[in-house]
Amino acid sequence: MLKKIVFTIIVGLLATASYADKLTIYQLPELKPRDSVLKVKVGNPAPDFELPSITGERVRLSSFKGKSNVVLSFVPAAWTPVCSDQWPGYNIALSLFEQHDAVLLGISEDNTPSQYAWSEAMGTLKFPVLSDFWPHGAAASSYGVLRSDGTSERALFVIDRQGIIRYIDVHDINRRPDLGVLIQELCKLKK
Amino acid sequence: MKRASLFLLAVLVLGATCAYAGDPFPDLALGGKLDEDQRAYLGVASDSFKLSDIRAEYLFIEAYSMYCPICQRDAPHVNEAFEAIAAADKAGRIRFLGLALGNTPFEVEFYRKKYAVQFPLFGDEDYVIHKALGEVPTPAFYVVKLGPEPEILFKKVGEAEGTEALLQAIKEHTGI
Repeated sequence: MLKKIVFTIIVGLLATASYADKLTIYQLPELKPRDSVLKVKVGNPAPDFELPSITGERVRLSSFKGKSNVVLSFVPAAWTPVCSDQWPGYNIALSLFEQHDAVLLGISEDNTPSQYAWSEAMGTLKFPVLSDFWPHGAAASSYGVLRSDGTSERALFVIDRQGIIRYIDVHDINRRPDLGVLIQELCKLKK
Repeated sequence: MKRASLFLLAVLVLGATCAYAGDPFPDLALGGKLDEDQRAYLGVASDSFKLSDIRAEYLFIEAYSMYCPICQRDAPHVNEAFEAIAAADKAGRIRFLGLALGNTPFEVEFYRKKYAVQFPLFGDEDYVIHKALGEVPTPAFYVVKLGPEPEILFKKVGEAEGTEALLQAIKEHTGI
């Protein structure tokens, strides 16, 4: 009887601690801030890729050429601390991207089912979430942001309508980039 | 033996639920861009001051982040609670403020506009406040009794669970 009560109380306390209801985060230690070497620089054409999204479509970067600017947001892994708030933040700020005719594409090295469950737990992301799972890390590798453990860097690339890279931020993987800096970079793009 | 264990367990559980009551709340140094109305609301003369400089009996504090999905969902509830208390508390005994843990000035301003937040919000770009609060997860809600040594009367970490729950917590601990 006592064991049952203790078990019930422990489960109850744990439920209180995992406050983010469905969003259970896998805690990570401090990681090496950067673990890759860029293969592109500002002014280079953005390497093209086609990746599956969680909505079932395949998204090709070059399909936006001549139509809109693009922001690529590579994040290291689903269900981890910084990634699980970076994208929900972008999710409520999509109007800021739209003001600068920019489409946001989120990319991680996780497979699509895992990304889908993660997205739903965060409250349904309204921008394309793309899987660079197979061939593993091909897109991240083409930009030089694939880490040695198979995750990607926390990296942002701003690509203009002509398909040219205009801004690169390979951020410390343990820290979240300031949204204000990214929006300032979008402001610099030609209308 | 079994009865003693049950009693001990009950004491521990009851103790855990009110473990924060009476704990000190850090007398934070706050700074940011406040307009005249916000300075008047807090009763402070400048944009930089200490928590204990705020002229009120109590504070309702939301520790949040623009990036936290639960905080985003809770924003309308916190706004409703603010409006209800503003209408009921004509004497200005309690003041609301938001601590945007880890958020830059741009992110604070974006959140304020996005959710039409009327009470003052303070950024925490370098995570100084986050550390002072023991790296509390977001959202976290506090009712604090002001004085030279601010004291926690209520603390809840996690979803607000609606406007009424917030109002109930304020009423229960302040009588407002």
